[in-house]
Amino acid sequence: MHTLLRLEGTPPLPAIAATREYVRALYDTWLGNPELSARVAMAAHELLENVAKYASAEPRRLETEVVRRGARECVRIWTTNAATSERIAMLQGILTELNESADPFDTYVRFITRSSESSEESCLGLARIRAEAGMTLECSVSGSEVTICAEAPLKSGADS
Amino acid sequence: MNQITVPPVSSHSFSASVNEDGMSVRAKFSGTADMEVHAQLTSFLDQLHAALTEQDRRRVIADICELYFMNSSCLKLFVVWVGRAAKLSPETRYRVAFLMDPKLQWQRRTLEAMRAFAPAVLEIEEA
Repeated sequence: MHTLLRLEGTPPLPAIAATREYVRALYDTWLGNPELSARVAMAAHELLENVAKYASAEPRRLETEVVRRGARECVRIWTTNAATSERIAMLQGILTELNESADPFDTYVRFITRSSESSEESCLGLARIRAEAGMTLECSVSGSEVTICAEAPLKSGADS
Repeated sequence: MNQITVPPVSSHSFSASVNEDGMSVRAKFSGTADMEVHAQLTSFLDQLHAALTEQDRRRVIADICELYFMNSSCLKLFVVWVGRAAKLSPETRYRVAFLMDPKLQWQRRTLEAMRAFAPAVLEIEEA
């Protein structure tokens, strides 16, 4: 396992773009895969904005690493933050919907349609991570802290 | 028929402007669209929609070739904009042709999903 980055206390909104670019450059240098690096950076941006907007209190953390899953390596990126019970329940529902879907693209289009019809939070960013970044998503809860983890193989099934 | 005029947006990281050349209306978006410019982009797209409908235009080119990143909150603004165009009556509806840079791979993924949402009004063109 290689921990590439650990942030204690997430950046304020104006600094998230710079953090995204740092993550992209870091992975690009490490992996030499600009396409995957861009997808991971997008996931970092969406996760960090969610933390910046919705974390109810400290702690706020972001971490990313490369882990081995059997014969292949995967990139993982996750955020942990304190959240209200309502927020945690909402996130769990969203993650269940995303993970139970057989077709992430169709689900993404459903989230897009939903977001066009409501001014409420749509969690479009999580659907985007699942469909556009091709990353699986997990949600775990410990007390009042929620962790959202996104993961993708370093190589696709076709070329691994 | 009057010229389409929408006040441009310009910040250190993002810009949006509209130009009209003959019958072609082109809205150009550059930089990074994220929470920092969310309010400005909201206003810009609202005014663009109003101008296009008031001036009875049928097509607008949304040039995002130099839009290097867009977060999901700003994506939602584009979704709402395209959705408003799709909800217009066929007589007043305008199409939105997104001009994208194929080297920016997020653009194709995002636009394909948007087209699935609003196939009647959304076109994708490569620069």
